[in-house]
Amino acid sequence: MTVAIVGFLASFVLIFLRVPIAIAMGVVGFFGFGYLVSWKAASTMVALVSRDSTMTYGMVVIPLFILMGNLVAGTGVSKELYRAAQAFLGHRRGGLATATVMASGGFASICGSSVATVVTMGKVAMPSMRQYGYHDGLSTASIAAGATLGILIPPSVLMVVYGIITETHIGKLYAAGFIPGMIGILLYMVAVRWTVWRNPDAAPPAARAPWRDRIQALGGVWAALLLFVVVIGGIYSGFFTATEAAGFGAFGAFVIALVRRQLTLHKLYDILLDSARTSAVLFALIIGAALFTEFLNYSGAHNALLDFVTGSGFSPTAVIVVICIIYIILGMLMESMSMILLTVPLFFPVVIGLGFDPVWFGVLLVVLCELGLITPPVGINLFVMRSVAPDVPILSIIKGVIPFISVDVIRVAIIAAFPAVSLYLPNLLFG
Amino acid sequence: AETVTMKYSSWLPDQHHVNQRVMYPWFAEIEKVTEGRVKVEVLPKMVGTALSQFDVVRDGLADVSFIVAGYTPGRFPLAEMAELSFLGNDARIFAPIFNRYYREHMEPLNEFEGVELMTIMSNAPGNVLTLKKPVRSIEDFKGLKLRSTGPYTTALLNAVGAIPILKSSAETFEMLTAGTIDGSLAQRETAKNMNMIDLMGHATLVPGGLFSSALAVIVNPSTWAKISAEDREAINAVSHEALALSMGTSFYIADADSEETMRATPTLKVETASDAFVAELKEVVKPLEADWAERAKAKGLADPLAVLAAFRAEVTAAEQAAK
Amino acid sequence: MFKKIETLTGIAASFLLFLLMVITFIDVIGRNFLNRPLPGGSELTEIVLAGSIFFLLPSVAFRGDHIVVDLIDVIRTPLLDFIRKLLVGILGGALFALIAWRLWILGGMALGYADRTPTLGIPLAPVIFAMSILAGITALCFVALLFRRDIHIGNAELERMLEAEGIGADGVTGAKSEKEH
Ligand code: NA
Ligand code: NA
Repeated sequence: MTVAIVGFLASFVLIFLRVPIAIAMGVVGFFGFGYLVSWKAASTMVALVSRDSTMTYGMVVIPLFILMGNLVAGTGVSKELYRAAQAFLGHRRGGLATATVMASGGFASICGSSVATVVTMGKVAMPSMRQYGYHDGLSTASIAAGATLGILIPPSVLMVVYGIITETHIGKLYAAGFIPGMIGILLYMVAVRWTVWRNPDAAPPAARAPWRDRIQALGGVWAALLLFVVVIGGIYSGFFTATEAAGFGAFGAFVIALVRRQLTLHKLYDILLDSARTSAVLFALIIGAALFTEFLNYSGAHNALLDFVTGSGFSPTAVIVVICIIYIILGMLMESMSMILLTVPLFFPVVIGLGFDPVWFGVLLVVLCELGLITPPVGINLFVMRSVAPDVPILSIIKGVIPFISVDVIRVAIIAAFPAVSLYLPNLLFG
Repeated sequence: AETVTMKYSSWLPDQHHVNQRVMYPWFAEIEKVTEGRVKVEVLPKMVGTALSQFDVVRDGLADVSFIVAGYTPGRFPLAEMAELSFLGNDARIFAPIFNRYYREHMEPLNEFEGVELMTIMSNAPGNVLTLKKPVRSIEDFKGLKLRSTGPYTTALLNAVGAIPILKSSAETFEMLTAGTIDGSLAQRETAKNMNMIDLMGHATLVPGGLFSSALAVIVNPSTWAKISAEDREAINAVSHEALALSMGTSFYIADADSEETMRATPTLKVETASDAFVAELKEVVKPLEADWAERAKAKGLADPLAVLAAFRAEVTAAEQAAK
Repeated sequence: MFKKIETLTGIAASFLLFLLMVITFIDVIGRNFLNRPLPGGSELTEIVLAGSIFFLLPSVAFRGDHIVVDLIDVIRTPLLDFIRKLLVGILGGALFALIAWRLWILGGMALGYADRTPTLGIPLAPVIFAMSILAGITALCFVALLFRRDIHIGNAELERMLEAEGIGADGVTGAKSEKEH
């Protein structure tokens, strides 16, 4: 156990010295394993892990969902989603911010990453809200928060990674994220209303769109809807498996981009290269985390933690509360994927050992990660908004996002307290 | 003397019958026969992946593991004999006999060089399970999309005109639920483990087994060398045939339990392949056996088909005698 | 020289990613409509996937694209930056050198065992040797960071994404130009 603590400390020191997280975890994993087992075994492990983390069929979902997201982002789908949401909701109080949340939810249903969602939606929604005189705090916050849904509403790269490292059924995880995602949209709408109620100037009324425009705008979302129906429908009808869905979805996005003549060979190359690069970064992280996990396996940390938890007289509920608090704090400091890869190998066996459901725990973690995306000081979505609208002071963004953080905490509590919210759909679909 | 603690890496869940009925009791027995000088500790999770367990044990990432030879195609051509068709009905009988045949004819050819081979066996007779259409002849196989478990069954399915589907068990389950494939080759035990029984409409049990798997238990050689000669001998006495028997018995029980569930499930019709169908199949597998014999010969086994025939004869005789 | 290699590996990785998508598509369509899944689809996927990742690892290392935690902007000093540069170059270089070396040994073993993929019988040794060579180049790229002045610190991934979306230093709101007017 001492070795495990030293290992965690060493990783944190390296990580906070800005050593790439993949390298920090990999190096600590190697030294820890070598110290506990043998140096020969540790060096073989390094090679086996790098081979088996990449030459594994299940892993193919990661680059393909990233590719799908990037292809979709390049097709102008986000603009249409936003226009449709705006046509229906724009004239209400805070309606453009609500429309942003809705459109983000829609975009999330075809894009597996929150960063891609925030970049894409930011580009579309920010100028529109500016035009109608929305306060920057509300505009940036609704985009940053709405985009977090990208990793909860299926497809989700983060869920895939969780599914792979914990051997949890990815189709079930997807189904489980759906209702919490809808709750997320509703609660973000509440956050918008709250902001506007506190300060009516934050959102001046916008023009009401006539029904003809609404119908027309609705016609624009066919591409997004089609892709969502194909991907999710394909999985649940068994036409393809959850793993194959990524490749099929990417192909669908590719065809849509072709049909809309949005794709030159040069642009396609850029998208492919960019997706491959993002995947390589992610796989380096997965390799590093896997090395660290092999070290943890020998460190006795799992049993020590489980003994501590069972011996401490904590109720399982208290354990979940403590874990949530740990993730909220880590979420303030770390990027979500790294956080999952670093901690899940330690917490997962304990949580499952206490009798909790792996699918439910996965959804809870993803929602905690969503929170981490918008909590300062390290909140990737806040950084993105800072880049999208550099003239908005970071403090305004943070102030604007506080109501959204508050409803996220409520959502974490709902999901933690009522597993049925997550598990109803997967149980219905997979028995 | 010094105590040796070996670390066990298991890719099967803790509650799996192989762990509960075979491996854990075997570890207890090792500790008992060495009077506590050798202990086995179970690691919280497997080291590496299921496919890399041989490498894991060879290079000492873990000391003990349980491997499936078919996971590394081409690496253990001799052990592949345990994957062939019509090896036997009762794993309690053919598993230990396989260990003995392997030791006698194949072990000297050093296929498992780099690890200590504690036992090797063939585990259970394989069958055909289908969603809608029963399989009663070679003709019935034609055009059916069936899950294949490895290179041998893939070749077999191709030979009978079926379409082999090579997907993980989780993906197979998804496709069976949706009915986008027609069925699966499966041992009785796997059918229950993969929750296939409620999905399937027909099961054709093939006397002698349509296929099987080669399983082995291996130990890291430098850890093995740390154990005194007497203790090694004591451990060997509870390994080899004894461990193969224990493993075979566990699979036999799991198979019997699954067959009981299968027969008790009204939506699943269980039938046994007719003598004519079996005769047809025996013709089909001949060229596949010849292919295997080629590979085994290349590895140095003088007359593979003779070994196979002798093995089958001994199993048949022993199964007759047991009745 | 490096630029050329980077372009070539980039093209290779992009092509393989595209291939990955096509393989899955053909496999699914073949299985469902033509009663003929792509033979060896899974094993092809595995090899192509590994290739697509490993081809880009050198470039990712050289450009400093790996994910770092950008927390302590406040306590950034030249000394800390220097220590960081040293740590990244040495640890990254050493880790990937180790990966390269041990993958080479693993490749040799695969050659000895004649390891092949189950359906198509593709020999695995050349694949593992190629991964080893690319890991070796990655190690060199980490070491090269030690000699670079313009070492990048920041969220490179995010910057690329913003750039691809046409969001420059002045965002989508045109903040800078507004001020200039
Ligand atoms: Na999503
Ligand atoms: Na955060």
